[in-house]
Amino acid sequence: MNKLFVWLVGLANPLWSRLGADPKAISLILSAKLKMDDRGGFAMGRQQSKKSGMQAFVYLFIAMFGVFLVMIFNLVNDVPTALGFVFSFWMIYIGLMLITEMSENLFDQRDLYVLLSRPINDLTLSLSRILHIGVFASKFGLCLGVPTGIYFLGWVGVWPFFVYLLLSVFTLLITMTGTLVFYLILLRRVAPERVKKIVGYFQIVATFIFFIAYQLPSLVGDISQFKELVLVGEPLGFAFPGLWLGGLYKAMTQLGGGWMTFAQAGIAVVAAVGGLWFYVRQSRGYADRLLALREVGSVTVDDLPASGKKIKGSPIRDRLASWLTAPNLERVSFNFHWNVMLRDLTFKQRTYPAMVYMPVVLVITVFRDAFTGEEAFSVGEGTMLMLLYFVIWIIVIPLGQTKVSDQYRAAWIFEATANPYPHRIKYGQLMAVLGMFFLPTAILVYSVVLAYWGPSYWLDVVLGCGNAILFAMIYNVVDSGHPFSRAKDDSKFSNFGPLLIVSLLAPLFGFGHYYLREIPYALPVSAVIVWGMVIGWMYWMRNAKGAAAGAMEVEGAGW
Amino acid sequence: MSVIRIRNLRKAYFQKKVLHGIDLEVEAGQIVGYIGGNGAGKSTTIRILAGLDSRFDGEVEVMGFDVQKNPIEVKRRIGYIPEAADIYEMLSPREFYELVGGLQDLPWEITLKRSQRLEEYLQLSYGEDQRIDSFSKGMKQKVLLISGLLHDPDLIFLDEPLAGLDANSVIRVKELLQNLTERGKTIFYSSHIMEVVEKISDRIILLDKGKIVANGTFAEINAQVRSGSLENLFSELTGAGNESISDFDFTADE
Repeated sequence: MNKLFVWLVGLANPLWSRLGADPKAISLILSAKLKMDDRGGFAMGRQQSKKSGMQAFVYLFIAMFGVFLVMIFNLVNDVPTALGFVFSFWMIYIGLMLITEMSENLFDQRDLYVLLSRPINDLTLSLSRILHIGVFASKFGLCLGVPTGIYFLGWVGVWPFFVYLLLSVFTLLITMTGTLVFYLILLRRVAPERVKKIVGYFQIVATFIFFIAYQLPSLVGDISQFKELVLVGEPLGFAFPGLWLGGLYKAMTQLGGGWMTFAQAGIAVVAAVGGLWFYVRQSRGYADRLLALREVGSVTVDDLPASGKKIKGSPIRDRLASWLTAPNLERVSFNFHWNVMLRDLTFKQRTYPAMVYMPVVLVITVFRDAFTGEEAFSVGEGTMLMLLYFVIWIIVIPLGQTKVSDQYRAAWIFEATANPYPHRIKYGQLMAVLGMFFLPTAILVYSVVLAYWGPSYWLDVVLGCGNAILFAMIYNVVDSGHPFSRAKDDSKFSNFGPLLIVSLLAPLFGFGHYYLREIPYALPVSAVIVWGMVIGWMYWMRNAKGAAAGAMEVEGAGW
Repeated sequence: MSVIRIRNLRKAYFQKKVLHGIDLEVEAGQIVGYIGGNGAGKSTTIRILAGLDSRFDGEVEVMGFDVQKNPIEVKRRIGYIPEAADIYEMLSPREFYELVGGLQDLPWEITLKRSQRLEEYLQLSYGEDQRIDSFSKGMKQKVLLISGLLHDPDLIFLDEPLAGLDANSVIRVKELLQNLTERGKTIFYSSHIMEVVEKISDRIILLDKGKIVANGTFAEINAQVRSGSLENLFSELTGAGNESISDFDFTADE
């Protein structure tokens, strides 16, 4: 498929030349980058194994989502409005993929050595980048768009089908330029040492928004009310770019619809063409900014700016460390994990959105009936148990991420050193996660439970808390391996298997607790047993000698 | 006393044989230069000796311990500084030393004291609590060197330890290595920089395609080949000098 895209890009060679870029260089760069994508995306050059199987699965999943989008035409009678919704989904989905997967590509500083040391200009470099990102987005667009395309060709008409094809390209253009222009402006306007940080936090926020947007349709109660909905050609049609494209569709297929339709159509054209023009304009001086970004990582003490990467003291960490760990390898491991979790932006990017997602799902689950008006709002003991057991995710998500890192090769240090108490590393790891994530959540959740349902439920809290910690310990054993020793895009079972097991087993703990409530004295007995297991296990982790846990999954011979 | 004893060491990656039956003994208190071309098997040997790779055939003892049976005891007594290794750059050097010292079961006070002395000796200066990701390549290499020496190992494996260091730092590291051998430590030193290997090594081992082709002092080896310098000797023994390169013109057929 890569060759097809490179060929398609080559069709526009006269245009690239006219713009002042080198078409041959664009083609070479694009081919090389697409090849690298197939061999491992994020930490390019580090992981060389093919990931085509996993990719095919992802594309299949996206195509299924595309089939789901066709159903919108069944829900909404007005085709331009329905198409506006479809393109809106495209924009959210592809935009998110660009934000999470391709931002690094935009700041790939290896280009400085490999590409900028060759005789190519700024425009060639930035065009090759947007085309690379364009191909990435087009693959998703293709998977999403084929089902709708078939629907248009079979049930709407030939001309609307061609209009749909054109608008698909417009959608990709608006999404890409909208995302990339934001980054380019950032690169031009913000101090280099802050760019990566801002991008990182932007990714976290954007992912979070996407998760929420994804859940919103589940709040819709009676979907039949959408049947007569018309947004295109109405004031609300200006609200989202997807609906502008609906306006353009209406203008091109129905040749009418009032001034608001034409205005929305005009905005869509301006957004696509203007976005592209603005990107090309903003990309001037791109290489210089990239160079500045690289230099941030090579300063010495003399030229370190006052706002440079300094480490502040952490009294909370020190206090918790003294409470939870002994002053030996446990504390070393605790401090190490705490520091990395607090400072590694990629850890935050992987962890925070997923952690926020769970409370969102919980709130929606609890309040959905009240939102949709199907039932009056009520919370019973089932909800309480759900609250008590959802905290398992608050431990398991970050705990799982303490095995993964972009700097996974640095984990050689755990192999190369003589560590007589390997389980103390795991103990410190668990305590750091409990201290940073579980403790604040637990205080909040348990306070809410005791305040709302009453102090008589203290035994449920004790059992729930013990179960959550026990579960985290089981997970930590199942998901073995040194801290931060696996590559992010490692598609082996070890990267997602344990989480899958947790997903299946965690509800069992909750249901078990629910049924224990029916048996006299079962709660206190269970609580004693569970806490006995937790304390015994912890004692073993802190004192057992043994061989180093887990095996390095570091590939290559660079260490 | 032999600190390294290797008998018929063989190692293969899948079908490709990397080490073809190496026999070697190294006495304590020496600097051993371990040299060879790219892919000769130097790093593989060092990884095996450091107890990091147990998938090999043959017998390997380090500091009297079988590396396959007692890798922990081996690691307790050796220092390993790999070539161009990644380190946790979001940590400060002090935090990194705390981690490495802790893994070696070293009290923090000792770790701190030793790291400060080594930093001073290697002229590594940085802002208080400055993170490693803001360091230059040479500064990172110094952090790596220090972290490998913290537990005062008796045997130190160095794989290209001078990579990225400036001229002054190279002198310091060379002095440090001499100093360590005077204290009875053994240095197993792998490098491509022949000039340095020739100057600092008490003994040179030359590996070619997984076999030891020369083993002795520079004078002993040179007496056999009469090359004048280690660079020439290397070229002679690895066969690189047999081909004529003086009239090479890569544009000849154009």
